[in-house]
Amino acid sequence: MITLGTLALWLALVASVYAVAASVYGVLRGRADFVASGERGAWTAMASVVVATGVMVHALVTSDFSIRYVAGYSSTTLPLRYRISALWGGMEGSLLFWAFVLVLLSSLVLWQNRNRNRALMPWVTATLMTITTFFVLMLVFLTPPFATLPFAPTEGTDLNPLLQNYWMSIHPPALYLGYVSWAVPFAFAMAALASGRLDDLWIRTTRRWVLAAWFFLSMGNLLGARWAYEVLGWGGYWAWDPVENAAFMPWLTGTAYLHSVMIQERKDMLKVWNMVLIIMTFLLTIFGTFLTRSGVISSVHSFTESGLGPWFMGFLILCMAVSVSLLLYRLDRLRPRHELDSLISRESSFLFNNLVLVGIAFATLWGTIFPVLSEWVRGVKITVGPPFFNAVNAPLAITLLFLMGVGPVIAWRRASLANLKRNFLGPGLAGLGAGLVALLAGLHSLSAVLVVSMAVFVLFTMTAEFYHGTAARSRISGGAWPSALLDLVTRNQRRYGGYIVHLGVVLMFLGVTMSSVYRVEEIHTVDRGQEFQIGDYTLKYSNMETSSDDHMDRLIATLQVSRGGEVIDELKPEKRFYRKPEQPATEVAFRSTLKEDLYVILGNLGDNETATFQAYVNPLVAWLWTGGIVLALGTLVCVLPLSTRREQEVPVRTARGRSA
Amino acid sequence: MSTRTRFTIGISIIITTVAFLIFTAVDQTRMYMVTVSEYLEADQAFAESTVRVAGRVAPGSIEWDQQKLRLNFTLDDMEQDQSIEVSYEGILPDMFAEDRDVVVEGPYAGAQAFEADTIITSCPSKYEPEQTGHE
Repeated sequence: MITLGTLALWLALVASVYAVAASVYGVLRGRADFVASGERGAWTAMASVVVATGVMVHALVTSDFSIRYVAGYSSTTLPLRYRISALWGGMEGSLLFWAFVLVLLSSLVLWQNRNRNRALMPWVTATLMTITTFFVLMLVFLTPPFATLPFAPTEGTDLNPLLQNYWMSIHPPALYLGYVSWAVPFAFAMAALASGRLDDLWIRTTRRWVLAAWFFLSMGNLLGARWAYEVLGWGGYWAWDPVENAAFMPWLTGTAYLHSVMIQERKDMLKVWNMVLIIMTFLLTIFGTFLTRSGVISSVHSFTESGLGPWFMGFLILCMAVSVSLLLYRLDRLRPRHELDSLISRESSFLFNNLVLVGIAFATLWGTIFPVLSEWVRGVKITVGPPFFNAVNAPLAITLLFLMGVGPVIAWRRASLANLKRNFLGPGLAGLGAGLVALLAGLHSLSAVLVVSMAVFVLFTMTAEFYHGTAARSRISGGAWPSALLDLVTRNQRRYGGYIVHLGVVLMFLGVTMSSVYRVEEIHTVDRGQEFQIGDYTLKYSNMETSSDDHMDRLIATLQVSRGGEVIDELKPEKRFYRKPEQPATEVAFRSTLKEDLYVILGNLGDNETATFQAYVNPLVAWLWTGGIVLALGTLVCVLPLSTRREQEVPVRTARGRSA
Repeated sequence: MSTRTRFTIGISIIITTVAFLIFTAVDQTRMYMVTVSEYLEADQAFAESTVRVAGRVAPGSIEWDQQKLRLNFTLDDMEQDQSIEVSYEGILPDMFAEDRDVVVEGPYAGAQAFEADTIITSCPSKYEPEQTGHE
């Protein structure tokens, strides 16, 4: 079996290199036979990677400890689902899983387009197989997943306890899907540049891919935040850790792309910018994978130790060089036929939204690589922590929130005063009013007041959109309001789905702001039977139990939660001591309501069951998760084929010349 | 003023704002990352700054008062024979123990005891498991 896995990787390497060469040769020389052969090569490579992944999963499930990876990340006492998630629990496995996701998506692309987009497909195949080659290359030469141990141990080391968690079984696959899916629109963009088919064919073809990539990346980030909140046990969900930033940056540029591509579809503008955005997004996904794997930021030493650093850097530079050269080569033909008409228009509000998103991405990148930069330039290692990211990104994010209220409703080309008044007078006043109420209600933080005010502004503009649309639909069809609303949404899925996504983002903004500005933290050491206060909760430490199985020992504290003299809940924070590897871990307990979360960590234990508890009251955290669900639903509304009688989207663009 | 000029001005304003925000934030929030010996050599170079000092918890040096949540220990340099005294108030991190590599974060304190606001224990990377020495 092990030999089969290694052989499959070698075959994947040979086949993917062949697929790239044959596709490029075929398309340049106009040889359809080579193009077809290249495609068959790609199928061979894809099948081989799937086989290799299958062998690895089989080895993990059957606990074949002669494989070093299996011995290092699994054990016989590990439950089945964690044995499977051990596939992405370590370096070699996670790279194999990356390649696996990539070939799954590639095969979907090749299948979907087997009779379509034939001018683009050889280049798409070549691009996707180049990326596959890179990952397989590392799997064959640098981090062989099937490396064996001289003597198979009888038991494995087990998966890191922090990863033995429900969220850890779904967060990485979602994130990988999010990362890897961006390779598809990138491949089509490269194909458009290389083939000269520079019209919006590649954009229309990848519309759903982009939404899917964005969806998975959003979910990957949110599930990661949820995992941090439940498992890492420090009371928060986002620490601006390099690994988190790595996933956040492509999300930002991807979000910018998602928006500016609408301008290209409607107005045939921003073509170069869209190319730049998709290239940036793809490069950031590779950079993100590199950051998580090499540990270059958190510790400079592992850069050389893992040996992956230079490879990733090389691949990044190669991708950048090729894509930027292609872009420059076609630059003349990407010039827009239209100029922007006015600063006060939908086009420009989208442009500014893009700049702010890219600004946040740049600031995040700057802060993330700052230690490396400062060491290069000044020889001193300087790092910046969460205060840096909050200070820079908060004002930018608030600007973004404001633009979110403006962009969807402001007139195209040039907004007249009447248009502005009609669309923004009501919501603007509502926003101002909400800001005032927030001030009077005692919100002393400027950013909290601004976020509340902007959030209400956005909610009002969106509600007005739904209201006017539904009213018009109801007049036309004479139907009742609920059916008119349904009709409205199914006929303009992308538009109204987008609004629902925005609603989710507004909720997340509120949740993030309030939980970071108004978080309360208390630490108390109490004897059994004693109680302590946090916010308006009283927590009584009533019991301490122990329990153990062959996997871990557990200490479970019981806290009786009461408010206003009435017992409302019971929380059981735990301390766990894993046996393999011997490592303590904290299992937090929290009580979540829409208003706030009461979050308790069992800290240290002293003599006579004296325990230290760290407790937090985090306001509106639930809004972040709820916002995430709304965002997911909104994206589904955009993508799912809900209605067959969708209205034809009428392009506003004039004179759409033929290109190519 | 032509539309093009207006856009140039608008875009420049955004770029300048981002640059300004980054510059001031770096200035206000930067932390020097040093080893124990670098920290001791720095003398006054880090005065008024936040510092992250990496070192190893000296065996037998841990004093922990659970009632007061007060932790005192000696942080050894990983290579040289130098050390600083560190004190910290709060919950003892899970992975904190003798002979472990830790990073302490706090204001530069010169020759006085280092008052840590934060203790960072295991490697923040989520992918590599703790070394268990079976290889």
